[in-house]
Amino acid sequence: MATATAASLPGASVAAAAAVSSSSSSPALSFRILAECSKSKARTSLMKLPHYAVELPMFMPVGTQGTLKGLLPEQVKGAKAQVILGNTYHLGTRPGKDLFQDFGGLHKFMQWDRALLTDSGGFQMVSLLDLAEITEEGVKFRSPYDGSECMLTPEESIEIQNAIGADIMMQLDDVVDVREKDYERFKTAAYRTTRWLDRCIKANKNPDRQNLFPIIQGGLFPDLRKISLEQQIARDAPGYAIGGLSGGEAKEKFWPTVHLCTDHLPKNKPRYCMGVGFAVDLVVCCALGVDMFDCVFPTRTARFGCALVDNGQINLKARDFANDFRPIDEKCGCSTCRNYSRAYLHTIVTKETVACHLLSLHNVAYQMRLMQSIRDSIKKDCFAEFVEDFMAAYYKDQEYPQWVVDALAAVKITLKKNSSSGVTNKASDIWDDQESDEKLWNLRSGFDKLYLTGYRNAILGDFEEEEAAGRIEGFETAFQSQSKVNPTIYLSRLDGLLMACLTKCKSNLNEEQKVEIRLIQNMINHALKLNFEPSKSILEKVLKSNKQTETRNEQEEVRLCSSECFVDAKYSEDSTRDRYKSRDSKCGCTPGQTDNAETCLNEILSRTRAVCDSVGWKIPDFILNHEL
Amino acid sequence: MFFILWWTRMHHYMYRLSIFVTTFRCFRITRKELHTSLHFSVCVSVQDAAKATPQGYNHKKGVSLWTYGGRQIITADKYMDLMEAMQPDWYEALNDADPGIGSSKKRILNSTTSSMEYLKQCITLHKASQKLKGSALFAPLLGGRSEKARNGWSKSLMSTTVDKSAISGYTIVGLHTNGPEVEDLQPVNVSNIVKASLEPLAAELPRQTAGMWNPLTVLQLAHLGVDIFDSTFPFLVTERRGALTFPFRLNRRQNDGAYSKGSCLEHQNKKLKVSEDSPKAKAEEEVPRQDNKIRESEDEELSSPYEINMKNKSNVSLMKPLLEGCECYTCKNFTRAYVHHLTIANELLAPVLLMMHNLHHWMDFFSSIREAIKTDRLEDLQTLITTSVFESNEDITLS
Repeated sequence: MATATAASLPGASVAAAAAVSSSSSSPALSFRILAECSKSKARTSLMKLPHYAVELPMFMPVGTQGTLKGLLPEQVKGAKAQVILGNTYHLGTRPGKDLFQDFGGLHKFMQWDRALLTDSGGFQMVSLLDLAEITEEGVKFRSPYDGSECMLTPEESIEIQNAIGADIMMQLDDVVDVREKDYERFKTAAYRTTRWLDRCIKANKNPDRQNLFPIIQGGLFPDLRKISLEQQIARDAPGYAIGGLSGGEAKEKFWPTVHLCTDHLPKNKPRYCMGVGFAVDLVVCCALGVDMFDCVFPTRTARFGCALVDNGQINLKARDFANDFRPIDEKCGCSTCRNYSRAYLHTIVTKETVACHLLSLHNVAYQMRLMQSIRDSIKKDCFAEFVEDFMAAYYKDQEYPQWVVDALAAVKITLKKNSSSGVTNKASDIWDDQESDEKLWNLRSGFDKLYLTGYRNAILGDFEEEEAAGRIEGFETAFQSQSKVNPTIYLSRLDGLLMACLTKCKSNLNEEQKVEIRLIQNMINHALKLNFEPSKSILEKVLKSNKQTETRNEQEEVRLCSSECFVDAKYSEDSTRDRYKSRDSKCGCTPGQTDNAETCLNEILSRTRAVCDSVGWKIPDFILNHEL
Repeated sequence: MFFILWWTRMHHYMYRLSIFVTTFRCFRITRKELHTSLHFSVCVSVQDAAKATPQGYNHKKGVSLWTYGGRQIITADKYMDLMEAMQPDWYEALNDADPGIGSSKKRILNSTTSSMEYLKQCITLHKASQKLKGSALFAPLLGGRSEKARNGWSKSLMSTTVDKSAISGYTIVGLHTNGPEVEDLQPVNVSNIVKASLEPLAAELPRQTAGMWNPLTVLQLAHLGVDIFDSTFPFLVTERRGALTFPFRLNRRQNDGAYSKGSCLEHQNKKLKVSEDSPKAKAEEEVPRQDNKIRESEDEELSSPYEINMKNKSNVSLMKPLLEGCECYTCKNFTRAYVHHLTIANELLAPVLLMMHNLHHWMDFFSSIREAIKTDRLEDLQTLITTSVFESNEDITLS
């Protein structure tokens, strides 16, 4: 059946040339590589398990207690999950191995007909360390449920896993917290893990239908890892896992360890990196030649209201999404994205349990889609390009973390810094400047994050016309809801408009217009800066930079001064006024000069209008709605 | 300006049962949003029937709604703005249904006076609105627990002071103040006041009443001529992790000869099963029975005779479905042991599976009611439930 499935897969013919077919040492697993990346160590393969033939590399969602956070088995299948991970320790405690024996395994109990993998419970040594005591015999746990003590030995672990009946079982390993410093502890753990593996193999009653994977230990020490690798590989298992990572170690040490392990592990057997689930880590580890992953992250983050997207995750609690009627991800085909908008999810997230289900479903589907893209790109032998595109989308402005660059360089994938047009850079300067970002966020005026989302989209230029209309409508509601409008809103609207104009009409604009837009933007920025952060140091900074800039002439100085006075006038009844007092003498005009301020704003407005007219844009009505 | 309101119909745990949306963001959730994702009729009531409405917060200016963001006082104008934004298939007019048991005549009078004001405003705005052309307005039936006041209110609805052309139905409110306590209202408690409310009304318009009515009270209300109920009962049963098992199938009971093991209820199963089960199955049956007694004494308030409690340890190794013969997704796929495991482990899937079962059971119960009305056997249905659930006819009788 494995062969038939392989032949029907697209790209299988391409794969045939590169394929390293293998026979497995286990009757319960057959593994064949379908295609390999010509640059990196990435490969895509087919692994046939007793319950399901799975495509690798793959991500396995974690269903610790025999269920995946509120999702029905059908929904999990709909999200294209191939293997669910269960936990031996938890399932062994509750409902217990006897029940599984009666029921004929976890598959039947939870109605899951695809493959299952059970973790041995070793990891709980770390996560429940206070409750566990490790000896050569095994791990002594105190049950978190009723306080009773139980001994988890390798034999016991396998007995439970045999009862559960997972397609892949993990050996009980001696897991040490990766942040532990003691070399000797890691050394003991590495050797003990192999000793326990031998006991596990001996205890396995179903080698014909349950695979037992050894786990490579050795912390972050290459010599220990090598010892562990050598010993474990000698046991000729159907597949191998890299353990003891993802516990909070530095990424600079994480990837070389994975790299080392995949270099030594047999090529014709699946490799499983335990506890890895962030999108970037998945892509990097695939490049390093890992085939299987698991992590609680996608479902856990869903419980906190976060949805996974191509550039990380978005928290739907944020007010940005209150009027955002797009799906979480337009490219996503999951039922959440097909049926619900961000605005709807924003309304119910963290309040109604169904929000958690919807987000879990999306997040699982996202991970599956990511892995599918990786598999497809390897088949088409464009994995390197995929990685570049992925990283470029994930890290705006190509500011890649060094470890990602290094890890990928180790497998001959170079991440280029894409130096695109000046406009983009200008825009992202504004966008990324932490300081100005914070200023915007801290606005007291009610001009809120919502506007920033629009800003970002306008800048990045990735929104369609009708969306632009919807966006403007969104602004409108947000702004109209503020009865007392601060002039900063007015200014920011104009600024946003200009920015959108600069980006969207990039090609149509002549130099003159561009300069004009920037000049107006400068005026706006000055006015805004003074309003946002009326501190002396900023003011001085602004004044200083004005003097140094050639384009600033005296007139600009006056304008700056007038906008400042304008601010004063507006806040003259406010307590903030006191702060401005000290500056009065400096600029030589008094807070009462509202004429001056209005002149300044009117000038900004008329010049903006002129620019907009010249490119054929109409200033949306809502911008002009409020009297200043 | 943005706030979230609770409108309740039914609560949904899973998207496929999404007829039961509880919360909408007013203004910005459009009809399209609501309907494309639901594909079902949407009805809006003023208060959430699953949560006890705090009393004493309504006054002349408006009605208090209890939202995620706290209390919101809502006027008829504002309420109708919301309706325009949501465009439900039908909605009840804004009303002050506050007066609970033991309210003074004065309080009832105040509530009916202000509610009449709201109703008239709602009718005017409803008729003027283009957007609400496709929505139906239901008039509230008020009057607290006073037969006289209820009768008077209904009569005033039929009088010329109210524009009847805009009213497409009635909803009986003010029988209770929502929340789980409604379950304790027995047929005898509501029978007369509902009768008083319904008596003056025209027969051709639908009548609705929201709340956690227990099955016997539902039957009584249906008997009195109420047409529309909601799923608060199965929802709140799910919240306390119960699975509904009360019987309602008349036909199967009638042909006792054809009574198969797979199509009956546990209660009856216990009585009827004598020889057909193996000793093991028999033992399994005995366990819950004993535990039922224990449960009833331990946490009586968390359960009702209509359901089995899935927290109960007796389910730990039961390989049978929640209800033998039930055709719902949960019963066809999962065992009690699994649902019990999920419940004990506090997993999110437990309420999902239970709600699917309970809702299915509740819907089937209603199809059985419709059938019984058609064949004029409503009393038989009442007797069936009374005898099998309470095993005796004491207290509860048809009036």
